[in-house]
Amino acid sequence: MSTDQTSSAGGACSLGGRGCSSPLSAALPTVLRVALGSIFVFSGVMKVGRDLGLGADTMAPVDFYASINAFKLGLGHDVTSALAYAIPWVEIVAGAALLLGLAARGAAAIVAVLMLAFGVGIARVLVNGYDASCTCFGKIGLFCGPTIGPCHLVRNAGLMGIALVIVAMGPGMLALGNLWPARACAKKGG
Amino acid sequence: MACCPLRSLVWQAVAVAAVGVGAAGVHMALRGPVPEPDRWSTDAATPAKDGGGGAGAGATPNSAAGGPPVSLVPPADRPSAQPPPGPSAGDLTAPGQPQVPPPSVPPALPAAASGSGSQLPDISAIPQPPVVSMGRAEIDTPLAYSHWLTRDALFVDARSPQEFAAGHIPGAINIPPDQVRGGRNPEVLARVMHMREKQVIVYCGGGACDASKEVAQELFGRSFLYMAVYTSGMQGWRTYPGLPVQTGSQP
Repeated sequence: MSTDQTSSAGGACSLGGRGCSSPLSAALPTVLRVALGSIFVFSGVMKVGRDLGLGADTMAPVDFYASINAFKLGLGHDVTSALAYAIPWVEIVAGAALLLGLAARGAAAIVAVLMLAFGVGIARVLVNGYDASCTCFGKIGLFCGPTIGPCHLVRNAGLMGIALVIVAMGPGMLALGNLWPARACAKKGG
Repeated sequence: MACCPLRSLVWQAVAVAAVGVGAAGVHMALRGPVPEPDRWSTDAATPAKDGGGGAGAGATPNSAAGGPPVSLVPPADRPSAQPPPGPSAGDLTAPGQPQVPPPSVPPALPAAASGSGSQLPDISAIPQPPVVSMGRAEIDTPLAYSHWLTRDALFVDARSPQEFAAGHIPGAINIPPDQVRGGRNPEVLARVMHMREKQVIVYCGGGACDASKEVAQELFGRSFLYMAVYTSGMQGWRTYPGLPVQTGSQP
């Protein structure tokens, strides 16, 4: 893997600096990053909002717990309970990191892993014909209906694709992470 | 942008995950872990096998209350809706001792009843049912199921008519919130008024739905005495293996 060029003021492209100078490759990751970050902050907040006093339109981990259970993953109570708290908060933090452009590639990688896990869960539901509802965005159906269906798989794959683009291209312009100059390599790693 | 792309990627990911899990830990410490609402998560995979005794509480539910057994289930659905003598309900809430916590998992029932031509059963004929949940209570699947078995409660499905038609707890009647909001529809209220001093259990989809609470609140405000919200609702009901589900809209 080649070390990448130091970014110009515009963008930071980590994949060998390919196309770093073009305005599109500086702006595209930014647009995707902000979109993905907004979606994930939103989806996380919708899952814990009631505990934060955001009203009955949002959910609390107690509700999310029931949703996870409907996927019948056989995780047991303790793990499911921990997930019901952890998943929304990881979504919020990853989404915020994407929005700010801080550790954006890592956040995008987390999002991609989450999407992969959700995708597996959704596929299991579809294959086994479970009756599960998507509380992915709290009570709001984004593009898809409340009952888990192929639509969710497609949406999931789309979000994962966006995340992978950010992982590959870096945060793009207007990212807080760009304030720190890329350090010189101490060791050849990675 | 960092020097070693993969390594910085991993570090960033670890940092993001750590902050997220940390925030979740704080939240969990403040709120406490999710209480175990229904113990279905681990048991759902293994169909219930509770100590096979008992004479089928569903068969003669109301005899103790001094009246003829009244079915909340349309006749066509009864055969499959009743538990077989073998893996029966056992001591799943005998009438008169409703506070006894039922077994964690209800007994497995035969395949779901799916009658369509349902007629609203005459619930008012129930003599004096055992009452468990005064005021506004929240109940879980085992307790809801024991009520269903003993047929001492009216189940109210607060979801939309479409969702209701796609599958509901047998014997339930469909009252979406917008039909009772502010007493808008007196006819609907009149249909349930006879249950004002009896147990009414409202449920909706489970998970994130509030329709049941809204309907329960509305009925409670109209001097219904024994309102219970079955919180995990249809989702919890369906998660249990073999609990009967009825399809079709109500007349």
